[in-house]
Amino acid sequence: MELLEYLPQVLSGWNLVILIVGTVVGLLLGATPGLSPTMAVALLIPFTFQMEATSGLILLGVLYTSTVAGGAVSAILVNIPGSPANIATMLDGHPMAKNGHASEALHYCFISSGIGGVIGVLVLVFFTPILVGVALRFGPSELFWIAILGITVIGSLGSSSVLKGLLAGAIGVWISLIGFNPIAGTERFVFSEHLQGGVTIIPALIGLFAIPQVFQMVESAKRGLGGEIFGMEHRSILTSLIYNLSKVRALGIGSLIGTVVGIIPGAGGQIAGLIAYDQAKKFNRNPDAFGKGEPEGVIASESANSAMVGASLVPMLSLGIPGSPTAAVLLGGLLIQGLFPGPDLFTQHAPVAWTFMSALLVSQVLMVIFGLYISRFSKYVIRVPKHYMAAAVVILAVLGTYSVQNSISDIIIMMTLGVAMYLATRFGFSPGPVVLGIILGPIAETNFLQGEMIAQAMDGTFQYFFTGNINLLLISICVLSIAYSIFAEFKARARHRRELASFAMEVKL
Amino acid sequence: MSYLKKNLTEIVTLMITVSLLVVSFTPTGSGYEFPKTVSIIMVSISVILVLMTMIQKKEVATDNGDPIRWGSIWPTLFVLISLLLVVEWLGFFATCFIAFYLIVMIYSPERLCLRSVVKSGVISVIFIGVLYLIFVSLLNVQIPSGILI
Repeated sequence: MELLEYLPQVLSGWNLVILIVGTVVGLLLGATPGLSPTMAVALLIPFTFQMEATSGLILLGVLYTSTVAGGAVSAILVNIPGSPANIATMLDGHPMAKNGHASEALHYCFISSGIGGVIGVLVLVFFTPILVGVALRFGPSELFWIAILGITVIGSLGSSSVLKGLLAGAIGVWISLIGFNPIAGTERFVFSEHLQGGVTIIPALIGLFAIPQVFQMVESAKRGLGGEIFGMEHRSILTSLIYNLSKVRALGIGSLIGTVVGIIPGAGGQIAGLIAYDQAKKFNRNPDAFGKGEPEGVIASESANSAMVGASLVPMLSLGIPGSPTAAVLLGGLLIQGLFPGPDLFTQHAPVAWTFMSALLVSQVLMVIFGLYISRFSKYVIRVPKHYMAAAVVILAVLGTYSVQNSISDIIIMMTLGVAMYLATRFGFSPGPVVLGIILGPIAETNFLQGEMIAQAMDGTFQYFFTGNINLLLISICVLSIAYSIFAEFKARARHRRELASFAMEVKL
Repeated sequence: MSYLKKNLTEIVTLMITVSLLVVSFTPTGSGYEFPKTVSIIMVSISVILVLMTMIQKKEVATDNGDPIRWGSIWPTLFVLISLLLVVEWLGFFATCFIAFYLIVMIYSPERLCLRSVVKSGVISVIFIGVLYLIFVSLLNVQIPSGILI
């Protein structure tokens, strides 16, 4: 059992120091809006140049683990996701905080992340050869349907109606098409020089979530509501742990979806949390509670995005195909150390590979311990007066956006999208679907165009996209997802009518 | 949301999506198939939204749509636009310091006095200093410097 053989090496000397420091730094970087796991890993790659291969990879791996989990802190407390993977966490995490359950939400976030993360790493350790075979069966048509499945999740993302959610998602997809056509290479919709590089995810994510939040904060500050809007309740970690473990369904859905989405190369690991949230809502007896502070929403999304971490390394370590953008950066770190992915990694460099995987497992445990410890100090974040918080978010948004590509154009795009989103939120639109559209648009278009080219050389477009077991399974899930969204919309409208009728009765009385 | 506001929202949304449709269909080259499909979907959803609003009876409800408080947000907008205009000339951290300080001073509930001016200034310096240490000294992020840092 190689995993146990190399575990003592992880827990000794320099490697343990790297694990602890990496976990704390990763949690803090993750909690900073704009510093995504991809950027955090990329920024710290130069630090690994002077390290041994094992230590360098441990640092990058532990950063990947802890930044994904740390992103939930700002999502829960400030309503700004630390990274795209934490968008779904925010949907119920922030309402929980506003309802006076901020500590509880943070506990669920770290405990679920730990459980999902351990499952993801165990999948990486034990099922790599089998899952690689599954991952290789996903061609452009399957990836196209995965993207469409992601789009059907939009109905659950908090717009005032499913139609408005779908429209916002479609606008997000259209925005993502600005720039260059991924196959033909032609320039599209470049109305200004600032749009030449297109609209990338991080400026869009920061702008759409952070800037409307800044405007809301300054509005509150101007109205004299500058103090804390919710307190941190005292809650025992043991109570949270017991409750969290009792939510087997949400944990199971999150971990399973996170693992599956993670191992599919190019599916975009950041959608794991959103798909898991959507499915947890659909399988719940009380789906109306989601979006209003339902703990299962936090549990499903956090277990999914952490399970995705280990799983996304399966195709990377065995085939050299990263399962997520951060895994792609990690692949760069691997190559810099002179290690090449593939079967040789597990034979010629077995100590490095197994120590790295053991370290990932240990990092999950450390992430839970330090995450729960750091969450005790989160009360200081929410005590910060609104005018200071608004100013800090503006500067972090500008700096976070700029540091991605060192581009002033990105800051302009971020601010423009942010101001437009602030206005749109006042008319029933929400930023979640727009961001999802921006994430999924390029995946859908690239795979659709590649699939079309393959289809022309085969039996035709219909045959290529609408036959095959995986395609049919994904199409069925898409249809069911849309049908459920329509059903939920009608149910919500009926409830709204009943509420209006009772309101009218009260007015008459 | 009141009936009138809802109606107006759907019509403005339709106008925006139609303009995106026109933009998508205007170019003649290849590579526009996907944007065209997306824009058709957008217009279809907008038309359904308009029709649904027109068919729906006038709802008996209070206007719970939160209005845009321009009076509160315009100083922030002004600071954001100014930041973009001067950041490359003045330097990144100097501009960020001024932007942070201005937002804090404008929205501070405390009365303007020497103590609050100094306190906000010190907090702004510490905040920007910590960011400088993290991003420039530790992470080596390249930041544009103008006449100041």
